[in-house]
Amino acid sequence: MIVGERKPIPEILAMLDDSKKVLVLGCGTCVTVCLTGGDKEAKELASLLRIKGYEADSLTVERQCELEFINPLRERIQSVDAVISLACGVGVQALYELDSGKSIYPGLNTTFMGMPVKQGNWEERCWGCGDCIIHLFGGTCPITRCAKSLLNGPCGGSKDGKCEVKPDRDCAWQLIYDRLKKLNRLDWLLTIQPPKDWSTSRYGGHRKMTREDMLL
Amino acid sequence: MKILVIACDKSGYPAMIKYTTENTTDHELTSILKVPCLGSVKESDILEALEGECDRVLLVGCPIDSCFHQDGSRFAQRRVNRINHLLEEADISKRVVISFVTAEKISEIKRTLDLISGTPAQEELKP
Amino acid sequence: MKTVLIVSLGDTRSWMKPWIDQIDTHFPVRVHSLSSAELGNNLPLDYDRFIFTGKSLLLHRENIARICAAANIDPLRVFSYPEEHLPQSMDDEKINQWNSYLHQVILAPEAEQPVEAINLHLIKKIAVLGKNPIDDSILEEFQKVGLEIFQPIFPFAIERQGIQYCIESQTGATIVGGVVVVPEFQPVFSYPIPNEVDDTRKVFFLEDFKNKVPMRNFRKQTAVFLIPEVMVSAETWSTLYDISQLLVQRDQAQVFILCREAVVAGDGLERKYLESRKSGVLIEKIDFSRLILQPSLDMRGSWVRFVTERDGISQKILSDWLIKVPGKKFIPYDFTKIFSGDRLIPSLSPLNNINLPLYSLPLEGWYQLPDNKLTIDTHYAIQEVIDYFQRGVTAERNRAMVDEEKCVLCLTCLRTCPWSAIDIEGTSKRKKARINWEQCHLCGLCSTSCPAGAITLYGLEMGKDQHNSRRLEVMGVSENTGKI
Repeated sequence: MIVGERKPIPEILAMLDDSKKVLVLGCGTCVTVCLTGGDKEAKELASLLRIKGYEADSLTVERQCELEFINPLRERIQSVDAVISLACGVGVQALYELDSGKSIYPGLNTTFMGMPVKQGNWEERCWGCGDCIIHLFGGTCPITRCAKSLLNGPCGGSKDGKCEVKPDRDCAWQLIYDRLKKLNRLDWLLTIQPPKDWSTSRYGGHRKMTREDMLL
Repeated sequence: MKILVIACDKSGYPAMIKYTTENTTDHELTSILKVPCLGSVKESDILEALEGECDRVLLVGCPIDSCFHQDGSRFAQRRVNRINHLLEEADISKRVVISFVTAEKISEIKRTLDLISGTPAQEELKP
Repeated sequence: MKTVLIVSLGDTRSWMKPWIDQIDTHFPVRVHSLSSAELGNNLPLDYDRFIFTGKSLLLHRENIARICAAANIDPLRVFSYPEEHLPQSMDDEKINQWNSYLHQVILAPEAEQPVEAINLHLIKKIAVLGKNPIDDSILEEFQKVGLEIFQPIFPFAIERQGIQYCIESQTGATIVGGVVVVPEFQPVFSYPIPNEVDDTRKVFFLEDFKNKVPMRNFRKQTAVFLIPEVMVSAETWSTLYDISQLLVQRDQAQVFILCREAVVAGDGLERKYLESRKSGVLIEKIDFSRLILQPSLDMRGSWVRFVTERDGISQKILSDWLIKVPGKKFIPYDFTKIFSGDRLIPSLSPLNNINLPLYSLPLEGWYQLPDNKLTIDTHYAIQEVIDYFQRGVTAERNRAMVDEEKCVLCLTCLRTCPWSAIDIEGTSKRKKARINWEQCHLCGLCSTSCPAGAITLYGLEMGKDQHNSRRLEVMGVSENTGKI
């Protein structure tokens, strides 16, 4: 799921500037589960703003990236001076599609696609390269988890199984080796991976996906 | 200072009742609310209290390793830290205080209430 | 006309009568009072509100639930007021506070949720888990009070059924009300004796050395007992004190006991300790990291160099005999193989919690004995188990509920619940979290950590936008119930 982190309060306050009436919009899906932008957090932020003297209120919709869910908010948005959206970047941009004439301020810094490794701890797992070859690496994606995104073996700088770029992170290639050994597939490491075709990733430009049979 | 007290019914509440029957304090204790465990106190409730007239919210409950429900006080401590952090970031002078007591150990309450008057916010208000 | 019953927990307060009759409110209300002892007399209890008063220590939710279950009272109609704040006379200024509280109680909105407090049935049978054959004396203690014993044979699996446990083994399914874990210990001696010292052939474990003592004379010889462990059984210490005293008195040998901690707590151990010291046994606490052992040149003994903790002085003695006294290492019971279900049961070990029974594990009805023999501590643990069955369990049905529509299945509540009372249930079409009311202790941790706000604890919430919330204001009067 998509994981984000709340922006520091001073940054949010700076964005609000001289607005008086503020609406805080929470999102009920990804950011609820990673405890940064759900109903609870939206209410919290609204509370804080009220203590600061703003006329703030909060509202949460199921998913901010669906126009059907955010269309009913048009009137509400018109009635306030500023909107803070606690959804991921997708939700914030979706709100702009409403063409309300108001600025929608992002309350979150959207960071990565990841999973909860344990309660309270989320870690990045997928980079979105568009050409998935996870199986060849025993289930550890080298693009995401290796700091240098190496595809053909470790850089040799790891120490005690930890990455030299970020010493508190595991060396992805150590994990890949261990996993493939367990699966008895170390021979896959002998295949040289060709230079990756990055055109399917963000470097290829803005991406789309279509299911033609579902188009109305 | 105006203080709202939220106390857990196992230790904090009996301690607060004992304290208030035997002592007085300069602070205004607006209410003493009884909850089953400090872990059941939501951040939104605390913030709502601070939106009103209260300067401080005081949570009183079992010691962290002796919470009747095992983890309640631990969660409460973390939540208090988080809210105080948010309040500091937003440059608001109100705060949340948490105090760990047993039903008999009311000296800790006196100590906490005395500490509250010593915060920088109070000193700013002095002429 | 609203009716209110004031229930006094503990002693009846006859002085309550006069000012109860003179309660000044704007609403027609009839107020009666009873003591909790009188509640069992099958009186019709269809009051709109109840106010329990008593020492503030007695007003916790569990106690109130127990009384409600026994007297068939709806717990959502119960409010509480501490006896310490009750007015002592008609002129007391506390009268105003009490009046306004009564006012709020009457004005409090009706509860919309049908909640019941129920005393749960506990079958008088316990499962006893442990590796070695369990000491009969321990089992007898349970049987004496009417608790049947069931000892499952591996392989078996345990599943929760309400507050009881269902054990599936080769003999079928057995339901028990509680589980007692008997610990297993392994002898351990952690100080490494150098090979050369071992080669002197004068190094023995206590058990083996014990057998030599009656068979030979140790006249003018030195024996050093090494105890690097902290957890050593009282039995071992007792044997040690006996042997060392014997060696000094019978053979005029020189005896040293070098240990980490000298144990005197235990039946008669203090006396033995003092007698040993008086007879000339030298008992020293040493730093084992600075102990040096070397064989003597003629390989008939060893040089022992040690530093006493007492004065930090380094001493060197030539010892004929080195005796290793092992401690016991506790082997945790492997629960991973026996719990079924998809909930990850956390590691079960006794909590260091003064508010909970000392030998209880974080699962209701599970206890771990401190020893596999009947010692004083084991007696205490057994008594805790017996108390559990006597006390019984009271639970409140329908009090903690999950809103299906809001639940996003993030699993936060399931992981956070300290009593492992939450399950995921449902068909593949629609799953949701479910709180097992029998296992739920109504602590509220799930409700506060739920990111979607899907869990409600009726009557225990503080939020003002919930019509079922209640604020129990003791100090401070406010016009509007719902604002502080």
